[in-house]
Amino acid sequence: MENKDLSARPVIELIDARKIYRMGDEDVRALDGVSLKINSGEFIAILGPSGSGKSTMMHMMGFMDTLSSGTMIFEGTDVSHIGASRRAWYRAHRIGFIFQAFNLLPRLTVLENVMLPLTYARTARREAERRAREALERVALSHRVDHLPSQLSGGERQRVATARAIVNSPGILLADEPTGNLDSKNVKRTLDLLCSLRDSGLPVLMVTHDLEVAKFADRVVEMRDGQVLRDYRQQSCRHFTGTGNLGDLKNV
Amino acid sequence: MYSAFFNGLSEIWAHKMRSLLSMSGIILGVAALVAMVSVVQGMVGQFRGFIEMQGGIEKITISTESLPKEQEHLQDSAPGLRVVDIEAIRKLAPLASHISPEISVRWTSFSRNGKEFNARVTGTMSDWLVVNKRTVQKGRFLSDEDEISRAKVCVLGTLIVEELFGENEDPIGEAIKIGGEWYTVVGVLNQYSTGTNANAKNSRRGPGGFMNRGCYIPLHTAISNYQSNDKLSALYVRVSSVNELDEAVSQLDAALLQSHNGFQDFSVSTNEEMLEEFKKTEQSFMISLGGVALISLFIGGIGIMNVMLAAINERIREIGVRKAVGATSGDIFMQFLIETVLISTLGGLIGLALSGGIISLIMLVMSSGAGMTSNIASSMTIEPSVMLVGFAFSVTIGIVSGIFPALRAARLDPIEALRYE
Ligand SMILES: Nc1ncnc2c1ncn2[C@@H]1O[C@H](COP(=O)(O)OP(=O)(O)OP(=O)(O)O)[C@@H](O)[C@H]1O
Ligand SMILES: [Mg+2]
Repeated sequence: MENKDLSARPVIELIDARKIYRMGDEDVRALDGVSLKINSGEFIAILGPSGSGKSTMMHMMGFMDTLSSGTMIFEGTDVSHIGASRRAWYRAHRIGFIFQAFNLLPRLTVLENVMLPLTYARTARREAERRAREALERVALSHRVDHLPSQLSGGERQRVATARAIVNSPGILLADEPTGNLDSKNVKRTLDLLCSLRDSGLPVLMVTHDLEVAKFADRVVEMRDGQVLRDYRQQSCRHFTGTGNLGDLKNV
Repeated sequence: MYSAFFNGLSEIWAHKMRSLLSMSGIILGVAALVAMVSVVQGMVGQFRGFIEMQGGIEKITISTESLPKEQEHLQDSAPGLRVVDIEAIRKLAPLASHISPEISVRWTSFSRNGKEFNARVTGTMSDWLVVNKRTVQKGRFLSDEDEISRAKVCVLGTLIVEELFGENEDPIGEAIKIGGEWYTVVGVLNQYSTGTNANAKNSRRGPGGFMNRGCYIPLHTAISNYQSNDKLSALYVRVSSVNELDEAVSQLDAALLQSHNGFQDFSVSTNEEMLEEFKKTEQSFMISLGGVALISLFIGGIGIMNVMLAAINERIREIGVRKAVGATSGDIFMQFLIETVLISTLGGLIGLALSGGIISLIMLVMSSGAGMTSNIASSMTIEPSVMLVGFAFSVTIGIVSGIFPALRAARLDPIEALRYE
């Protein structure tokens, strides 16, 4: 019973969340009353047309910006009104972010890139390095620690970015179109990686335009005009395409 | 901090040329500043040495002057400096601890054992040695007994000894002929040299040559042998402490005015006046050259600021990434501030090295010249304190010129920054 109660507590909860950008005389309602609960162990795909507010929602959940109105509860704490330095703390300690453009720093080695969140979390260097190596092991890139991002393929870069996102043992993993810049082989590999992270209890929120990609999730949130249009659970296709090849994936 | 430091270094290394160019203002500024201060300090050192050679600032010079305007018509009755003035000073100017009157006789031929040499003869008294801060190498200087007995004894400068005596000959007690009269040598002065490093050249050329060619005989010996009156060429006085200088000057003025029956036919001057004059020159040097150095440092700071602003524009995305993974505005601010300080500090260090080069070059050029310039060159050194000041300047400029770019970077919004192409 007790266990169930704990898992029932959402990692993030948005209540009537709004984000309004003022563009001259016009208001752009990027988020227009979104209410959403995200529980641990969920792999959620966010679908929706361009401009529907997907990225905006990710930025709010990732403590990159603040809501115009509404409430955000993170791990049981109301974080709707916290200041910039508290948000930076959350980004360094509790959030993992993966971008479409990988966003690795070109001058730093793979290891240093992965260590970056820990340096801002003021983790001791030795400990940071140990955890970074561990994270790189999880994405199967232990052998590339001293390479520069420019020496890696796109898929490898996204795995480094994933290692960087999980190195601080975050409460949630946010991925904004993580597969957008990858070929289908690497798309599959990245999705497998996200699924395995979900399996270890980490909730994963993934924005995508690709319905095939969305099939890997076990919950889908469809957005339109800053609002949640549909929110439903589904059977992740991962389990029955585990042995499938590229063709299988494309034809589902 | 630690990682910002190494990040900064690798950024600088990644843009070697750009970093070097942005440093150039600082490099030149620091080099100019340090070189300039060293040159001026060299001049100061040289001048202080020069004043020491003149007897130091405790020495007061009294010389005969023509009368001031309002007494001009009485010029013929003006007495000038005479032997009686010595007694007047002894009585009325107690702060004058040593008194050295001088009578410059004339250039005379010196001869001994068929060797002949022209040199200067000066009549003076025992205090001459102390007043002029000189020392005796062999024998003794003139004594009060020599003075009373009008003894025919002399003390020689090194150059005369070199010319009239062999290398292994001891001149003490020997007789030499000065302008037809026989004198006994009682002492030899130490060599007089200008500047801080005594080199052999000094003994023959320039002021050293003049001083080392002097022969000193008792004042009254000079008067009775070479003069029909008791006029003195000049009077020199020494005070025991610089603090008493002003007081001593007024005492001397009063004493002499009394013994000259109110005729203002003399002047009392100190080496301090020379020193003041020199300090003014030094100051104007410092201001003009220091101004140039400061302006180039200022421009150097602006240059660095410009380069940093451009660099930040190129690195907006990096800033976005860093903020997205948890960097606070403070972290970003420190990162860019440290980077700027690193650039300017590195520039400062290069500037210091360069100033060393400039100094050695100046020394090389100047020391090939003669006299004063070569002495300035030889007393030029870069003092650690000057280097420290140059270094501090470069760090300060780094901080000042880094604040604005670092603030710009720190204020960037992470979402905007990540969207930036
Ligand atoms: N800083 C901003 N200023 C003004 N309007 C903004 C700003 N950021 C986002 N918007 C607007 O908010 C709306 C939602 O943008 P958002 O980036 O969240 O869309 P999205 O669903 O991620 O689209 P895409 O699929 O193209 O990435 C858009 O209309 C966008 O123009
Ligand atoms: Mg988007």
